[in-house]
Amino acid sequence: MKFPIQKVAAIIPVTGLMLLTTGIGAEMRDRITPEELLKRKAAGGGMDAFQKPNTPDPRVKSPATPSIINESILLSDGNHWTLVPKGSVLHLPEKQKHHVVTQPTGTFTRWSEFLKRNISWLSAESVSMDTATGKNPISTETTDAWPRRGAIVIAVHRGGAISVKPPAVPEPPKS
Amino acid sequence: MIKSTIVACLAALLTTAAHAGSDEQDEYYTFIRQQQQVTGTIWDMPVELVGESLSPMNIEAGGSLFQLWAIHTSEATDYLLDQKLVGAYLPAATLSITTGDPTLASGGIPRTRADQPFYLHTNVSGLLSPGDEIPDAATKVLLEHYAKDYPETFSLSRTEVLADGPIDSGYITENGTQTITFPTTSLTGADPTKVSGEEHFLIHALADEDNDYSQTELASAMIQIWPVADGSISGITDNQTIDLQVPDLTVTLNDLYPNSTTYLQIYPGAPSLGTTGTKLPGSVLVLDQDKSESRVLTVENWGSVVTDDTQHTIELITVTPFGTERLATVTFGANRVLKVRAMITNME
Repeated sequence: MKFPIQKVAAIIPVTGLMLLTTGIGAEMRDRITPEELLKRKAAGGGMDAFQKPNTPDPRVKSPATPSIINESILLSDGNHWTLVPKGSVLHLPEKQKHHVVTQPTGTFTRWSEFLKRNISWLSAESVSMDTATGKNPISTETTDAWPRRGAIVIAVHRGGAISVKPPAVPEPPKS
Repeated sequence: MIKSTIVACLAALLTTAAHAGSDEQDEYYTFIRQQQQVTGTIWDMPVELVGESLSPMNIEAGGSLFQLWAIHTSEATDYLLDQKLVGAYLPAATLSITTGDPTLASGGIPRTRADQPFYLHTNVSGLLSPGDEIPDAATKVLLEHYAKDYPETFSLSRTEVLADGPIDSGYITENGTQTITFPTTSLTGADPTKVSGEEHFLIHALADEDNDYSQTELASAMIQIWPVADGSISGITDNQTIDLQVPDLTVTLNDLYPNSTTYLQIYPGAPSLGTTGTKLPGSVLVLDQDKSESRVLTVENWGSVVTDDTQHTIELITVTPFGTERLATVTFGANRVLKVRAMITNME
């Protein structure tokens, strides 16, 4: 994928011409033929001398078709959409469920701008890293306030949406 | 756990995003997603277009995966631009490519031509020496080589390039730097001078059975490959004799290199490779762009460069970062004596 950039091709009059300096004055040669290039390829090189795996190494992992859209929660206001990590939705009121979509529509907007646009039904809850990793649960005082907001609550850390791991259920005491 | 400044990591990731916009009005929005490999915590890191940032998330012993994503704001398509797996007990690696073309395509991508060499530079650290209690996965990393032809759009996503699996792979078993020379592209085709596409290189850590990495890529690099140009001159045939009215020349140019200057030149006498001639007016085409290009030019009114009524040679020349090459040649004669047909009569 190439990002758009404007470049110009120009047909230049002979007078006052500024040519590429690289190559000019260097020894001129005829264009290489396919046969000549094949000879050059036959000489080898590259990774020929490397120790090769006998079979595809099972210890190498690459997602088949990585897609952050498929791996995220999509939020939409009908005209704009954004994405947040799975596990970052802390509270989802019934009346706001239609804002969670499976297909993006409209214009993608970064999370912070999307939040500003939709503050009437969307809110952010700042969490610590210990909370995000499941070490310290969110206080009940905080969670009790969410229904009163009537908004979708997304966990954030330093402005970026973050997944929150539920705290581990304590093991029952051994009898 | 180690709290680390991911300066080099983010700087490397963000460099490729330097030309992308982050505003809604721009085409692409880029950001970094960090995923802890042990706890599974995922965080979308707000970043500037270019720069460095301290990652407040600790680097777990099991590693953190940093991914640089771009999302097209109106088409709802996503592109994984780069990713790195970083961890206190993981090897570290960097990859870079240099070529004979000092200019880079958009996004800082190195490029070269199908007949030209390029150089892959690797730097690996953190490998342990083999030993009885050293897991094999800690003693080596895997270098993979991918290659994919361009479609007619001359555009490929990373996913498309990697989809068919590597064309070659090999283990790197020692720490340090090395340079691997590829004498020509590994792309293949019926005419090897006319292939175009991309080659990607990845270095992977080897996940042993105790680690559950979502992916193992430590570093990557890519290069664009462009065809060798060819061309022809028509409108005048070999050994044709021209008179005062020079014929229009049609110059067919195929696959001009993105950074090239191509022109017609003329000189008296038979063809002699290496002669510096006179450029035909209106024949010079300068390219400074991201893709190769084909054109058809018409060159008219070039009679002023025919110096005398002797044999002349016209050559089609292209100058690239790789040198000066002759693509076509035609030789003709000139006979520009003015002939007057008239009768002298007496008027009575």
